[in-house]
Amino acid sequence: MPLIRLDDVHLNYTDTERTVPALRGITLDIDAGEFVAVVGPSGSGKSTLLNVIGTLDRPTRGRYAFEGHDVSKLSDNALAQMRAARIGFVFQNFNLIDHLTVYENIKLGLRYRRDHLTGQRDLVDAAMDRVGMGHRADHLPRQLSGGQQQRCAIARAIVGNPSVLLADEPTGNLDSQNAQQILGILNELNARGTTVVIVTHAPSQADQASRIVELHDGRVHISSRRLS
Amino acid sequence: MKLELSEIARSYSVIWRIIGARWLVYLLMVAGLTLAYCAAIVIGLYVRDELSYDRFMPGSDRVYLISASYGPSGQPLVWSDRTPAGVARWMRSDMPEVDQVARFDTVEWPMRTARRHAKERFYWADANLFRVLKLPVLEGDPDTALEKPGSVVMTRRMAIAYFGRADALGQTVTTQYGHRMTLTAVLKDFPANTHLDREIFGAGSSVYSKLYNYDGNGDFLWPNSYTYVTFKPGAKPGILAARLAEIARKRWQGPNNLPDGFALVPLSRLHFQPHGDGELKPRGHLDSVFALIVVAAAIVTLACINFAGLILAERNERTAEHRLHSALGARRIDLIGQVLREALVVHVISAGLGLAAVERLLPTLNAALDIRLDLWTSPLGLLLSISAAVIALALLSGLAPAVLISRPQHGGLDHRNDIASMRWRGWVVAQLALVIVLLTASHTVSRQWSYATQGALGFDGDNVLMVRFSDTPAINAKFMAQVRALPGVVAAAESFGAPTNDFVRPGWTLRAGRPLVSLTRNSTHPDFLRVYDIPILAGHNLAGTFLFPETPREVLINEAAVTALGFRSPEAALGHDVEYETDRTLMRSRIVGVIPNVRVATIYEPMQPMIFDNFSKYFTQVNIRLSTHDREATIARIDALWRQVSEGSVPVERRFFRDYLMQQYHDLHQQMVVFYAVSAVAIMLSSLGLTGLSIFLTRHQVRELAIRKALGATFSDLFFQRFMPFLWPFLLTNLVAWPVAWLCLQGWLKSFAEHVALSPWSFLGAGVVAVGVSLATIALQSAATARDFSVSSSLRHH
Repeated sequence: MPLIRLDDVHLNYTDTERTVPALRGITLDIDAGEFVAVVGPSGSGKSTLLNVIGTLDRPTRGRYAFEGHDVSKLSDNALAQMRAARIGFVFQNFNLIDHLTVYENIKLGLRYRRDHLTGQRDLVDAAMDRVGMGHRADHLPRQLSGGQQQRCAIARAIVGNPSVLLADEPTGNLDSQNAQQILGILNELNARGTTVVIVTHAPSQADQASRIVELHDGRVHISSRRLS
Repeated sequence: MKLELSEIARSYSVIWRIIGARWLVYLLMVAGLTLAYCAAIVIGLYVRDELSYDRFMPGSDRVYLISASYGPSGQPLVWSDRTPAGVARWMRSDMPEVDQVARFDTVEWPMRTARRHAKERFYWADANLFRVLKLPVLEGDPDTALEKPGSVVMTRRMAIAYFGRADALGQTVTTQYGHRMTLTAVLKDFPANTHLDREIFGAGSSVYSKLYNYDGNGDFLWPNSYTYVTFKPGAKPGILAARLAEIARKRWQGPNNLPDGFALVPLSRLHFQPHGDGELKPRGHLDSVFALIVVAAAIVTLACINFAGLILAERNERTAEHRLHSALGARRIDLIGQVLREALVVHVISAGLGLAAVERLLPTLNAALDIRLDLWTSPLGLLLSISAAVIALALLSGLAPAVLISRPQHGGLDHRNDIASMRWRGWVVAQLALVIVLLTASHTVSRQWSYATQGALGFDGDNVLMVRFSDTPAINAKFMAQVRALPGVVAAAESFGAPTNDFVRPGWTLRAGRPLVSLTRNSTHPDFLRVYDIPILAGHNLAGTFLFPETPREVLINEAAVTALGFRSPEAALGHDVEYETDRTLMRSRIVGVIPNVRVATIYEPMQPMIFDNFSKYFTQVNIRLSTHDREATIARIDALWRQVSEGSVPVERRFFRDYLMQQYHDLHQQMVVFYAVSAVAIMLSSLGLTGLSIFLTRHQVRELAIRKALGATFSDLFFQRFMPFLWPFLLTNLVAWPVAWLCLQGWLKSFAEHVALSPWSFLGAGVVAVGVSLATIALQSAATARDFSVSSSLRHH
């Protein structure tokens, strides 16, 4: 059973004047442990696909199953709980909370879990160490460089040991050196068993994925597995 | 640089488009400011009305009413608006500084023309009254209108009522005993804010007038006339008042009721003088006017703060636009100017809507407050003052956000937002504190009003109808002979007057071996106690009534009189003789009973010691307790009986005691209504402010909320994330508001001789209501925010 199964998923954005189809019948399986790169031109639906997989947006039509559970049948609270326990997010613009320190931002990744994890401090310390941010625990986001902020965001995403890490252009705001560092971390996480789905424009980054999914106009154009 | 008109129009059309595009925020701004302008205009009209009492008379600031104080041993116990009739004569002859001195006295006589027949309340006035009180005249010569005996002067309204038209000079009315009076002048109608409560002036030189009677009889020396005086230039009224006391002592011929002193009260300040014995309109209270001014200022300030906060929130949304302006070369002053222009537009719209709302609301408000506020008395003055206020408030409320927004962005916008958010939160808490203070005040004023009209009376005045006697004793006697037997009448008793103010008839009572004391006197039928449900504490009730001999044989006193006369207990007072003053002499009587303290004056004055006799010469009215069953039918029977016994010659004059009491506490009732209305406005403003703050925080925090939601926060997590920061500040607001309310209300209650104790429930209730409404507002906003915003969009666009 795949970790993620999308079956003819459509998503339309509607405003008062018109309806814009963002996804037009996406069918896609992602297995546990895969490193998937989603590529495609601007407006092709990459980020929308990631939001659907991350349960931030609900499909207008079609079926989405996560770990075998039909997501469309889950309540908002159940989806929130799924995100808290099973899904990690990394964004292009980091999305750290300005008035929280690095440590507090990372700990936020555990805040909304209902399973009351014990030893949260150790988990946060471990996540900080994994991304090399242990020495910046008491810094505020504005005191960090872009690469450091993104590493902090990755630590927040993985602190709860999610099944899947969704990264939306995680290196888009970084220089090439920092970008490489972030990609290295994602590869390392994948190597340890975390499923990673990354949206990227950079062919060099896509090449590091085990599979490339190319979108055009909200449809899967090519889904190709790399030979290992 | 020369600005062309079309360019100015274009810049304002841009503002209109901005308002249209962000209508929700601007709606909140306009709603808050409209409420504030509406409240401020109404309070402004009320304050103007109060402060311009009697100013419709030209030269009113030169006119003084002579007020007299009475009391034994040089201690003024009672202030009266009236003075003995002779005072005017003495001033004319002994005081060269006097320019004009004139009097009037009150009378209630029937008046009849073909169009109207009523028992009319009017004045007997000296011929020169209109040289002192310069009442605007429509027809006739005011200087000579009252010279000829049998002359009468009316307002336009009364002239139309009696003659069907205002230009009715030479027409006659028939009054008591068939006397005919000729209309010699017509006055412009009086505004509501005058101390004059009657609109007809009869010539005091008429042989049947009371003034003529006073002047012809040296014994009429008790306070009976309202005396007005103007002085020649250079006179010092303070010194002249003292000289008047000397003149009075030299001229006085009566026994004990010598006025102790005189005061010259400027007509322009008469409305705010403590109420004196007499029948002038109930007075206002300057403290209340100041309190309302403070409240209006507070409401406007809070609305402006809300407005400033909303401008800040709205402008933060347009950060990119500002940066673009800066990049294109806009100076800081340009950005400030743009914000101020927008502020001016919003203030103009709000003031216009506020003005329209006031015009719409005034009839309801006038009815609720029993006043006659008029928005357009002076249209130019009103528009100029509102325009000035709009410009000043737009500048004041727009300047702070304009400066903050235009400041170069060192340290990041978020940091500035944090400071703005904290400041705004502080003001919202201050606003909430004001709401709590106002609600506590409203409840306390309402309790005090309830106490004044119920608990403080010491008797039951409900369902008591007071019917004034006619001047024909035979009619009164026939009426009394039958009224008690009417179905629906529980009891009926004659008395000198109604309980409370016009009941006050000060007199001096002497107990052998003790100093004179001042007791308020009433003459009543024994059933008076039954009608007003007053028990006897010791001894027994009066036995019957009598007209001759003049000395009554027995009297009742109240508990306050027991103490004033130096008795240890009610029982100890029984059987003792006292002497008390009448018109002509001291009379000896025996105390046969003691009743509880019953209130004869308003609660602005201390509880009066009282003495009750049964001297029917002084009866002026009958008090009738009605059964609660089918009251209207009983009243109809009473009216029919009056018509029958008077053979239609005298119209019935009746009113319920409770209506009379409401008139006595008119200002307190007004304060209660105004405080509740202002509290409601403050609550609405507070809610708007909170909504604005919530929008501000939502915009400021939307990215944080989105991050939390992406990380798995549920609806309730986000709800409490928004809600909890408000909870403790709101609860702690009470700790600030309660002491402030306590201090203010203690001060206010001190203006009463008797008052309710401050209740903890007033404070607690106000806190619960204010905090409850505020938390509900925040909860609704928080719920809407937690439910509605798009996470993916929020995370991408920030």
